[in-house]
Amino acid sequence: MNLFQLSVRCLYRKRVRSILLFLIVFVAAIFIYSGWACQSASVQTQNSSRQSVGASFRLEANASFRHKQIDALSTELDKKVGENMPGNLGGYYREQLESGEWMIWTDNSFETLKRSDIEKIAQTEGLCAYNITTANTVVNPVNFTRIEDKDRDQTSDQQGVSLRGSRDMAYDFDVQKGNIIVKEGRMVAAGDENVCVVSRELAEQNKLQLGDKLEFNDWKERDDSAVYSAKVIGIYDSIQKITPITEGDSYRAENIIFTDLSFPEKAQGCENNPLYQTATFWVEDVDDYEAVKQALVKTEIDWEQYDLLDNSGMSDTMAENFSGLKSMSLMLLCLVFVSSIFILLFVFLFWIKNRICEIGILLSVGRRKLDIILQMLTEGMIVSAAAFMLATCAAPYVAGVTADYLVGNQMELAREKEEAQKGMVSISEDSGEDEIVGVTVSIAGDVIAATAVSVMGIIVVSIGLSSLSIAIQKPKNILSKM
Amino acid sequence: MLEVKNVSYYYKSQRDNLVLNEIAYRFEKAKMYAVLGTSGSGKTTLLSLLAGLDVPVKGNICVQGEDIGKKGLCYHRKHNISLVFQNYNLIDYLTPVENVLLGGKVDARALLAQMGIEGDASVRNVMQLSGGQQQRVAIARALASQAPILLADEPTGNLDERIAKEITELFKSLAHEQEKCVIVVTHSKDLANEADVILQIKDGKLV
Repeated sequence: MNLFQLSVRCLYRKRVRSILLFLIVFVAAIFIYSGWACQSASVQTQNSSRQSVGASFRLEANASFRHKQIDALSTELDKKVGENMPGNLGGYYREQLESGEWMIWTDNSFETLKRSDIEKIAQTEGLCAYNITTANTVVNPVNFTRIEDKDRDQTSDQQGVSLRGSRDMAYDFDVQKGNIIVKEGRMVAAGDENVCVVSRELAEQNKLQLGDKLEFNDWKERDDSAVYSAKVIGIYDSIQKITPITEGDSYRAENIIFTDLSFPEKAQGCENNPLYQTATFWVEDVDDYEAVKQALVKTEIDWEQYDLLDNSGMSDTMAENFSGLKSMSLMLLCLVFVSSIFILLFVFLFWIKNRICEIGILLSVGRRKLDIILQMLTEGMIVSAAAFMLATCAAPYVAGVTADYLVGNQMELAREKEEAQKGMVSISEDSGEDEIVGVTVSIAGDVIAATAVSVMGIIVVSIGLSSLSIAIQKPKNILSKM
Repeated sequence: MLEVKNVSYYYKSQRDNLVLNEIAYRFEKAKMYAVLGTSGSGKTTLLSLLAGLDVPVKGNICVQGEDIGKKGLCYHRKHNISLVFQNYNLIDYLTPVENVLLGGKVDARALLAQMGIEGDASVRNVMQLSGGQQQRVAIARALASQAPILLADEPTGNLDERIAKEITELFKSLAHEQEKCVIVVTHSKDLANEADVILQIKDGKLV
């Protein structure tokens, strides 16, 4: 009888033992599958402020380029005016306060997207529309009052309202998302000047009507700066409140006033010095999305200073690998590897102890120790193969559940961290919120192969280690235990 | 046939206490040998050395003039000897036929029939057989290897008198009719009296 025949008979006739081994390997294989599948899973995140309706591209300033520019201008300013000397260069300012501390800031000319670059991109064939949006600009309301929460701490607030300029308000992302609807009057259109659209709440509080003029000036110089007026051409209703980007009521949803593109800079006291924060370009035919994208990136502008975000609109997301999931699944894999080896090691040690008589008999009829170990390995492999096959059938479901759990756990931790840090860190303007909308886990060939190798490895290692007890003993000693 | 040349053996923990001391003896084919001795005298140790389950600390064991270590102890156990134990030692998940086939490729059913195990008994689980039947299966397995030397350790120790006598007769016939060299380690005087040669181990010496 060869070792395969013996293995099959042993497994078939020692069913309880075989089923126990099968269950252990099955559970281990399921977890290994989950671990490997999560390694290559992708998490669909949805950024609430970046999402837009329709196939579009969004242009934003590149953060690392901004830092690089600040460093470069700082060095250049050092050369120009000397180190630790006040001065300004290219929109970069350095000033020493009375307290002796240094204050560094940048103006709109430094922070803005270049309109010439935006218009060059807009020439790309296949685009049907584009919009430019300014940063939410805080200004002082001169002839009206803002909505204010009396219970809210306003000490660090600028005591103003926010102006958001758009080339064409119909393409503003809150309008596109359906967060706001203009039910009275109209939206700001390209070519409008000195016009605004206010919230229903603001209009009611100030008894505003279409055609009224609202006055604004620079919040930093409320009493002395020039006052600019804008005609109310529309009143909007909030379907979904726009999330304020900081504490205080200046950025409160009801205090956001939509204006034409050039009004915020005037009211801020920076006429002809706009702060364009984003530009969005719409693709005429969604089917040409990739081709338009290829053509768009060939536009001759300095791309280093920009990020082009691939907003595919209705297809809702930008899929990215979620590093938290990767590290957690790696931890899961390590845990399963170690625990499986330990559990199986003890199972096989117990197995060998109970089979000492059989081992002695096989040695006495001239079988080599290696053959006996190979027989146990064959038994392990047969059971593992069956467990692995069943695990492969169950893996897509279990891996999905595991990935969901890991991601949920990760998000919960992130939320707790965010809660704990609330008010302690600043939130970047218009950062939006990444929301997990789904986790895709696929059991592809590479995952199956990795799991098969892992299960095989665990079986070989655990049988190998447990077999040391046979390998190091003399046949006589084994027989004496019979 | 099987020659023990100045074999000495001691346990590593008791180096001063020689279990076997310079034993030399030549076992011939077609004879049945009985090895007697008190408990702990070294009978089973001698059997283990003859079976190639252990190696002497001094001296050699040769089959047909060739040291058993030369071709390997596994080869020796597979081709030169066959073993029968007091506790029958059958593999519990195999049938009698399958247990016999472990010894070698033979007509296991015919061999078992010669031992008096036929029909349903040859294919049921070995654990369901009586002690005497199990020992017969063990002997059949030993014969299946067709090795010229049969070593048996207390083969009748767990059997009643009638079955023990049958087994003894079987060993005698294997020695005399099949010309095997049968070496039986035993306490049983009855079994020893049936042997062609009675050897006794005393103070590590074979006398």
